[in-house]
Amino acid sequence: MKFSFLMKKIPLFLLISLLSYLYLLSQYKTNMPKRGKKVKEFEDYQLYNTRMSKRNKMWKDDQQPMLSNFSDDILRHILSFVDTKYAVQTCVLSKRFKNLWKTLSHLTFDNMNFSNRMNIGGGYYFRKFVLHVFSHRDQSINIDTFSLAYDYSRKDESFMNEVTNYLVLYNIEELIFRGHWVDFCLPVELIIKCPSIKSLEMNGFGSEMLPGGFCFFMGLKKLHLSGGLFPYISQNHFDPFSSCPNLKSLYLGKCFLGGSSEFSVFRISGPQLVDLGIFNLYLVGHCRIEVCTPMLTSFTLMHSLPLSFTVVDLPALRNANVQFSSPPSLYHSNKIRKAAAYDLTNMFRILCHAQTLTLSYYTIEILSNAPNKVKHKPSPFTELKKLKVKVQHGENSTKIPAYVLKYLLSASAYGASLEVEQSWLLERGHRLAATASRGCNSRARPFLAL
Amino acid sequence: MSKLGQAKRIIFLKTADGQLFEVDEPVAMEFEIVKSFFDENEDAADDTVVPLPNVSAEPLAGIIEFCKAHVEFRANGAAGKDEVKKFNAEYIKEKSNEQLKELILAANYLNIKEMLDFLTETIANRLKNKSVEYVRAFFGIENDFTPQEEEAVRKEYEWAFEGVDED
Repeated sequence: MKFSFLMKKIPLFLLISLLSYLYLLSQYKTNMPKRGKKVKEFEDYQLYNTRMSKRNKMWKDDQQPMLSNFSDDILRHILSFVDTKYAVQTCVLSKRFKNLWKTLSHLTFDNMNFSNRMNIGGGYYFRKFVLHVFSHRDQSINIDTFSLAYDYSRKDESFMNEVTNYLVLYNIEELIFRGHWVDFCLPVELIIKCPSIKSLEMNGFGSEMLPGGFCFFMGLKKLHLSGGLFPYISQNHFDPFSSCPNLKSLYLGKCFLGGSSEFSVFRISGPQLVDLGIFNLYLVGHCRIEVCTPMLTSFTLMHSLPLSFTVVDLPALRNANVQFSSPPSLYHSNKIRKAAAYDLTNMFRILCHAQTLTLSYYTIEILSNAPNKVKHKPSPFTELKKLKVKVQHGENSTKIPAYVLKYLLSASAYGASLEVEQSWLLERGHRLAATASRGCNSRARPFLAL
Repeated sequence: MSKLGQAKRIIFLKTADGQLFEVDEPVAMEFEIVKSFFDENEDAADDTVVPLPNVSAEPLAGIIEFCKAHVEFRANGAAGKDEVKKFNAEYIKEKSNEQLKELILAANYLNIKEMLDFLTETIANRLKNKSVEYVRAFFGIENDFTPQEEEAVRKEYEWAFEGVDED
């Protein structure tokens, strides 16, 4: 009896569980269209929003459209940060924009924006575009900034002559050459006829770019040289910037100094120079750097290893940023380690007036590895207020030996503070900011996707 | 720069919506329009209120925040280069297009070159790679070309649309 009872119960039990399963399934199925409905509602909402925005001239997030209040001046200002190709393309936006580009005083050309599968480097269309802009723009508007990113070869000589002949008609203040200019020689005409040039940037230049290896722009305040080769001809002190007595800011990045003869002193003279940045400078042979810059307030050196400097006085110095990038553990020999520490402590004597000193952790390590050079030595930094140590992400042992800290901080009359900074986050932020800025090397992205 | 012992000079600014701002002198002098006001009225009393009829309180507060930070960066010398970029990125991150517009109009009126450069560049970056339609909507531009006219403009400027692979 008991058994038959169970037999009756089991199917019932099964039936119940089956039913509940079906019920759950049906619930799930009824849920499905519900979700679908939600998506649809959302789409409708978006559609509604775009319709509303068209009707009410509303922008996303209830924002008013911008242009209505912007003057042509502001629009020109915005377009000055846009590559000229895309600035010209704004002519299709509306009648107001049709001629606006013609009054721009910033011209930025980049051949990569004309590059396609058939025409790598975009040479033909690019040259045609540049010359069209010259002839179609409003000739009465001055060109303040002229930037040309191009991979120059000798066959482009006539094109560059046309460019030069156009540029000398204007009072250009900022001149920028990016790309590859190895065979290019800066036209003397440009130097003579454009005394208005205050800022010059040259990338990827060869030894012929600067006549005789010197800059002759008398009015130049800002000079930015990168990825270039300096010719060195004379046996004397190489002093390429003495011809720009008004220079306030100098940047040397990935520059190579070499030539037929080895030279002993690379002199950076700048009676007015305030800001000096040296980023990976390659010197042939045993060369010392001599910085003759009495007004210098900011000094930045980023390099793999310490460089040899002549000890000079920089009385106006406030900020020094010294970051060596290769870990001393990778140096080939003890001798190199010692020489690096020697060069570094020597350089610190030049930077003795710094109030803020920023060092990479590897720079600290060079000192830690040479206790003899540092222990019981007087600290050079008498005016130091702040020492910042940048630690790369992933450097686990960030201990700074007491004798190194003593060497860096003990002479300070202000009781300098120490700040350790994990730099990878900052570097990333820095890079993001850099790609957004006009002064960077990254090629322009299109402004309008047409 | 005020000397020790000497009280910092405060500049009073009154916005279009009637708000009174007390701004440290070096920050207020970042505004070319305020600077030239005091240059022209050298004997202006210390409690002179400078009216700013084209600026309302919200953008002015944002501008003061920006200029104050930049005045400090400059006082600390070039050491702030990284910090400046970091600050600028943070400053702009949370700003809506509408706030950006208000800031640009105000910075343009007050004539603050550094800030105007930064703001207009931000706009340029926000518009990069965007379609014609998007840019029109962003600026609130009404397309006043007839399709024929637009076609004619494109034809006239053919040389500006060349050299790119058709997708």
